[in-house]
Order: sequence, then C-alpha cells, then structure tokens
Amino acid sequence: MAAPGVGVTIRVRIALATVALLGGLLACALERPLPSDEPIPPDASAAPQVVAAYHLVEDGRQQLAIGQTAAAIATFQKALALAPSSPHANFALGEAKLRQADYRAALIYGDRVARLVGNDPEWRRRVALLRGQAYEGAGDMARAREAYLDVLRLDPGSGEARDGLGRLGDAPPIP
Amino acid sequence: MASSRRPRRRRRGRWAVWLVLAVGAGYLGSLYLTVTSRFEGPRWKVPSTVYAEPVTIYPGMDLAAHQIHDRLLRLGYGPVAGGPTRPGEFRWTDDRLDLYLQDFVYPDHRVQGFPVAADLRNHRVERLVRSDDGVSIPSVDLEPEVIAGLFDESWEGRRLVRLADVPPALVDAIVSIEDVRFYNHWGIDPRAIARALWTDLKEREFAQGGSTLTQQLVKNFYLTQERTLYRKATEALMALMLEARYSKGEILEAYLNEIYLGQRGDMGVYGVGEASILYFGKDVERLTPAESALLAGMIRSPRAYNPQTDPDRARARRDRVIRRMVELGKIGAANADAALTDPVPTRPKARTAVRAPYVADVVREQLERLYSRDVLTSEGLRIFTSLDVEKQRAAEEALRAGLAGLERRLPKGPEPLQGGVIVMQPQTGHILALIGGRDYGETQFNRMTQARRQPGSLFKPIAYLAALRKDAETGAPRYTPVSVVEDVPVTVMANGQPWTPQNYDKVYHGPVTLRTALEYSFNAAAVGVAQAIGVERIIETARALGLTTPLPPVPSLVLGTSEVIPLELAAAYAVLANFGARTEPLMIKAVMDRDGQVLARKEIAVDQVVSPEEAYLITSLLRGVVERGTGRGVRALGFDRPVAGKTGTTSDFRDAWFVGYTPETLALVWVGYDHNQSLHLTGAQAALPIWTDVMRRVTAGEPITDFTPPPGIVLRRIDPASGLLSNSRCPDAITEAFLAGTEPTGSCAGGPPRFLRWLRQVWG
Repeated sequence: MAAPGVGVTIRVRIALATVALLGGLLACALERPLPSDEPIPPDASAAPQVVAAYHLVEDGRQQLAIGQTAAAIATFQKALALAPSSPHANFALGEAKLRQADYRAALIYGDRVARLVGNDPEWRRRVALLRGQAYEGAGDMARAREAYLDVLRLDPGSGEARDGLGRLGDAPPIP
Repeated sequence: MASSRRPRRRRRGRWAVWLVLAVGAGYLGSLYLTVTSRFEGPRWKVPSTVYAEPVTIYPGMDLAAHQIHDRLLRLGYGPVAGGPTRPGEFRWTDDRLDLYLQDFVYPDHRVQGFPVAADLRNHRVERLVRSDDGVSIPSVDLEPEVIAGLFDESWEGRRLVRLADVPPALVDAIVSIEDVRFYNHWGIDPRAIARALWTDLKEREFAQGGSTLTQQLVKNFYLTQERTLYRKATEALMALMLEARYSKGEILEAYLNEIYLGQRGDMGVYGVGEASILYFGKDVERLTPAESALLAGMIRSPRAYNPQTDPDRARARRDRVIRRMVELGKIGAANADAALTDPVPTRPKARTAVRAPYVADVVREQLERLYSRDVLTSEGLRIFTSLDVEKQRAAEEALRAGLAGLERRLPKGPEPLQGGVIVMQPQTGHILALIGGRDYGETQFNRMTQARRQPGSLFKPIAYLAALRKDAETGAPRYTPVSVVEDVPVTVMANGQPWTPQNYDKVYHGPVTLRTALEYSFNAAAVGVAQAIGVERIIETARALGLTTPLPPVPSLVLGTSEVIPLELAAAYAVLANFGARTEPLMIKAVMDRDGQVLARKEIAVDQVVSPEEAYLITSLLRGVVERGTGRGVRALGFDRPVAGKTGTTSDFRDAWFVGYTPETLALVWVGYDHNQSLHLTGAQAALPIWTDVMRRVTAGEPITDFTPPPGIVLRRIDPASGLLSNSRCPDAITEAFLAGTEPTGSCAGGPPRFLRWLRQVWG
C-alpha cells in the first residue's frame, strides 16, 4: 500500500500532464490552418451585409454537398449581390467556377478575395490553393507551381499543395 | 287544282322543317365545336409575371434606409395591432418587427409563410428569430415584388390550380352559396331560373341570374357580359353541352380557375389560386374553412365583399356562407362556430406597386429570342430579374425632380426634356434600376438601351486607359498618370478638313500631367494623347470594354463623337469599377414555368479584359475628377463616399452625361432632347446633380467601402505640378498610383525646403 503523500503526488502529476496535453493540443489547433472545407468566420468588424453573405454562403455549401449545384451557385451569387465585398461569396464563386472548369473566372474571384482580405494568412493560403488549381487547370504550370509553393510557405503540411506539385512533377520534401 | 296545290304546300312545309332543322343542327354543331375546342385546348392565356429582386433582411440592416415598411405595404402585408397570426400580417413597434411571411415559390425552393420577429434598435435589426420555434436565423427574404406583366390585351393574374389541391371546404362553400344543386343538374337549374325570372319580371329588368356554376363558367369563358335573352339562351345551350361532354370535376376545376375575384392595381385577379395569395398571402391548399367561405362569398361581387375595403360587409357575407353550409350539412356545428369567430383579415389594399415598364420591355425583348410572343403572353412564365424596386423608385424620383428643376431654368422647348438612368452593380453586372425615359406613357423608346448617342468626354477615360495600358511589344505603358502632355492647339485632318479641337473654356493650358488633363477634361490634350498612341489602340480598348457600335478611326473619336448605346457605356465603366473584370449586364436571373420548373437560369459571366492595375489607375484618375476636376459638384452637393466619375458634354450641348461609381454601385445619367436640340448646359450642370441625387438615395444604408489598390500598384507622394516625387520643397503633394516599376525616381526641385518656408511664414 502506497503512502498517502505518494498518491496525491501522482494525481497532481497526472493532472498537470493532462493540462499540458490539452494546452498543447489547443495550441496546435490554433496554429494549424483550418481544413479547406471549414468556414472562416467573418471578423467582428465586418459589415452586416458581409456577415449575412457568410451565412448565405454556408447555406450554398450545404446545397452543393447534396448535389444542388445550380441552386448553390445561385445562392453564392445572391450572397455576392448582397455584399460585393464579401470574401466568402467571392471565394465560393471562385471554387464553383473551378468545378465548372472556368479557370479564368476562378482566378478573377480569387484575385478579388486577395484584394479584400489583405494579409490574413488563412485566406491567403486558400486563395493560393485556388490559384494553383485554376492555373493548373488552365495549363499554366509555371504559375500553378508558384501558387502551390505559396501554399506550402503558409502551410508546410498542406497535402493539397503537395498533391498539386506532385501532379506537376515536383515532389517537395516532407518537412 | 286544289289537290295539286296541297301536296306542293306540304312539300314546301317539309322543306322548311328540314331547313330549320338543318340550320338548327348547324348552329348547335358550331356551338358544340366552340365548347369543346376551347375547353380541350389551352384554356387560359396566363400572362408572364416579371419580378424584382427579393429583399433580404439580416441582423444589422437598417430597415428605414431600405424602405422596408413601404415594401411590406406594396407586397400586400397589412399592419395588425396584436401579433401577426396569419401570412401577410405585420406589427411594427419602436423596438420590434413581427412579420408573418407569405407563401412564395422561388426558382430554387418553395417558402411556406412563417412568422419572424426582428428585435430593432433605431430601425436596425439586432436579432432575427423564427417566432414559431424561437430559433435564431441569419437572414430572411421578403418575397419579390411584381414589376410588370407580359400580356396581350389585359393583365389577368391567374395561378392555375388543380381540383385535387383545392380544400374541400372551399368547394363546399362555393357550391353552397352559388349553386346548391350543382352535382344534380345538367348544366341549368330550372328551379333557379324560374325563381330568377319571377324576380326579373317583378323588377322589370334582368337583375337576377339564377345561373348555375356551369352557366357562370360558360358566360365568362365563352360569351360576353351582355344581358339579353339570346345570350342567355346560348349560355344555357352551351352549359348543357358542357355538362354532357365533361365531368363535374372538370367543370368545377375550370370554374375555380376562371372566376374574377378582384383587382391588384392594374392586374385583374382571376381564379382562387391568385385570389388566395392576394387576400390571405398563402397558397389555396392552406385556406381555412373561414377563409374559404370568405372567398366563396366574394364571387357574387368581388368589389362589394372585398375584405380589404369593406371588412364588415365581407364578414356578413362570409357568415351567411357558413350558415348556409351548416344548413346543407357541409360543415359541422363546432367547425362553423370556430369559423364564425375567426376574424376577417384586415389587411388594407396593397399600396400601388412600383411598375418598371422600360424594364418589362427589355425583359420581353431579351426573352423573345428564346420564346415566342405567344408563349410569353399566355404560358404564365415567372421571370425573376435583378431590379431593386426601391432603387428603381429612388432613381425615378431623382430623375423626375432633376428634369423638372432643369426645365424651370431652361427656355421652353418644342419637346419635353428627356433623361435616362442606369444603376448597376459592377461585381455582378446586375442592373438594379433602369429608366429609359421620362414618361413611358408618352414614349416607349428606351433611351438607355435603344438610343445611340454621342458620349462626349465620357469616352476620354477609355482613351486614357489605352494610353496607360502596357504595350504588348515593349511590356511598358506609354504613359503614367504623371506623364506630361501638351494641351496646345493641335490640327488634325477630319473628313478631309483640318480640325483644331478647342477646350470648353476656350483656353489652352500648355504642359499638364495626364491626370490634370483628364480631371479637367482638356480636349486638345486628349487629342494629342490619342494621336500619340494611335486611334486603333483606343478602339481596341473600347471593344475590350464591351462597346459594340461602329467606332470610325478618326481623331475626334477620343472626344466621343461616335455614337454609343448608353447601357454599353455604363457596362464599360463597370469594368473600371470592377478592377478590369467585365461582367455581362444582367437583368433576367431566372425563368420558371407555371409549374415551378426552372426553364433558364443566368449566371454571372465574368472575364478579365483589362488588368486590375490598369483599371485601378483610371479609377484613381476619375476620383480626381470628383475631388478637384469637372465633377467636383458631386462633393459640393454633399455626396461624400469614395467615388470616381466623369462628366460628358457633346458638341452644341446636345447631350449631358455623368457616370460615376463607388466600389459597389455604378450609375449613369443622361439628359438631352430626342431631336438633338441644344440643352445649353454641360454634363456637370445638367446630369451631375441628378446623378448625385440618385446615388445618395440608392447607396443609403449600404456600407461605405473604398477602392483598394491591387498588388501591382505602388502609391507615391507626388508633386502634381512636376509629376516628380515630392519632398520638403514641394508642399502640395498628392498620392499618386503607378503600375509597379513605372513610378518616377526623381524628386521635384521647386521652392525652398519646408523649414525655410516655415521660417518665412513666421518672420513674414
């Protein structure tokens, strides 16, 4: 039978370890970029129209998920009409155009998002990935490579950028 | 003799009988053909309905700025004292809006009306909640307003319903009050006719009808409204034929879709489907017994028993219908009691709708490329457009007031002053407002989409864009915003004649920066730039921006002497506002058939025709026009949002223009006479004030945004006089935009350093 003091010490250690583990996980979660399909909520300072457009875009994504592509695009366009400066609406349309293989249009929407979001790293990563895929689709491999490398600079673990570079014949080193 | 005459007479009699029988048979045959051919073919010509954009309500929205109260009244919503309990009702207090949405079928989904509550603070929505389940919602759409109908002769609003979709209570109510023996007679009801004849004889006029539902259908469907015995006899014959040929169900369904049930402004309301939406804000299948009885009671006189104008009388009539249903065993006592205590909807008549006839013409013209005129006017298509009703109304008011004000200043001309407005959203290409002339009733000619007018100086930014664009061969632009151009007399050959363009102020200003030349719209400088870069390059740029009209390669092109279509000009400026991306001007967003199937849908079409950086440079120059140049009246009139714009005036002051844009809204205004008389006013004098009024109204409640320079732009502080980098010696610096790598490297050399200037000021 262990002395009473020993049991307390072990419990404290376990508690501390748990806190440290949870803290580490939280820190990792905060550091790690969001998965591409996870929405980036609008800033607290965003105009009400932009916030409303964000929610519409989320509705549109749900329509897209159940195969209602035309309805989803109409919802994204509605969001854009409501808030032309919404990064969410512009990005969603960029992605939709990418799916439709309209790469020029996808790039236009991507450029708009880039102008609207400034230096936000998560948005920059997503725009760079969109550009990479659009340039790749359009056959502009040099720009596609450049864009995928941009993604990796912002998110060294990006599997999508690696896959893209792999398709282009460049296998980046695994960090 | 007598015996020989008799058979001849008999033969003649027989012939006469045969003749009468033949004529009678022919007549009956033709009646039968009339009855069956119409009944079996397309029964109704259902006009197409043109809708505006639905308005979205969301937390943070300023309901007053977006005129939501007016919109609700136009949509037929009625204020109620208590909380709204049925579709189409609302209650608005200082801190709360309770609203019961009406049913509506959108291109992508169907909305069954539900109650919504918005917490308000200073007219601004703080929170939106579905009142039925208390769940917060991010936004909600008000149904789109009807802005026009496409019809041939008269606008008969009609939503066709199937008998299976009509609640039994409505059928029972109608049969009970209009034709109690409907299921038993053959089309006519002798007892009802006898009763009606007796009343008519007493009154010595045709007051009582005694008509069965079948006869009413025949009268409305095949015959005129005249009251003669001949017409009555024909009606009876046709009713018999109809009953002999078709089932009671088919006749009843036709009746339910045919009956007239009131007016919605200039649109007649026909059939229970349309009436259900008008009076109750919901689809017919959701009508309650009380509502069914109210509607049935209105058939006799939609005007007299209209709950919107005389609720007491409508209620009395409804109660009579319910009591009759009780007598006939069509409704149980408990249900009847509940129906009798149900309040009559007290919604007032919908406020007069905003009509956009010029828009309707554009819609019709565009759709006639896809559908025949007959289809458009008879198949009940539902056409969804980008038009914003409040922006349309605001633009109409601004144009009307502006033109009236100008006419007070101008000598009375032989024809009324005309004007037109386009409001667009550059990022989507959506046309938000379109006014093709001052009064559609007077002339239907659309001056924004059908006219070709000289743009005057509105063409200059296109030429300057060509000058600022990178050369395909050298990869560098010929000019930057600070390039010095000569505003001096220049003589060029035009139509084989020497021509020396003059400036508006009759003065040549010598060497000026390209920015100054555009901000003050110097003609001689513009011609000089055009000569230097070549007219072909300008035409190429104009084509990239979407101008399709002929542009002869003449030196005067840069001064806007070639006619353009105003809508194309607005779209060209939208490219500049949209960082070089051209969005096709878009009015029709979707077309649905009457069964709710989407027939066509138009997506935003976007293409990068000019680089974002080059487009931004022109926007930057056009901002200077408004801050310092010919468009500074915009600021003087109090419009203080970030804005870029350009004035335009054509030779002899025949056309006055102003086009300008914020990052999210563009408007173009034209003022002139149809027959090209001189206005004696410039664009800044005639069009700019109207434009400012339009923009002030249409941007109310919108967020203020600025033009963000794209990545390939560098900003430098520049001495505007020399076009060189500013330093302490050049105090009046402005921020100038350059394509990266084209910014000046030298500094200005003018004046003493700032410290010395300060010393001089201090010591006098």
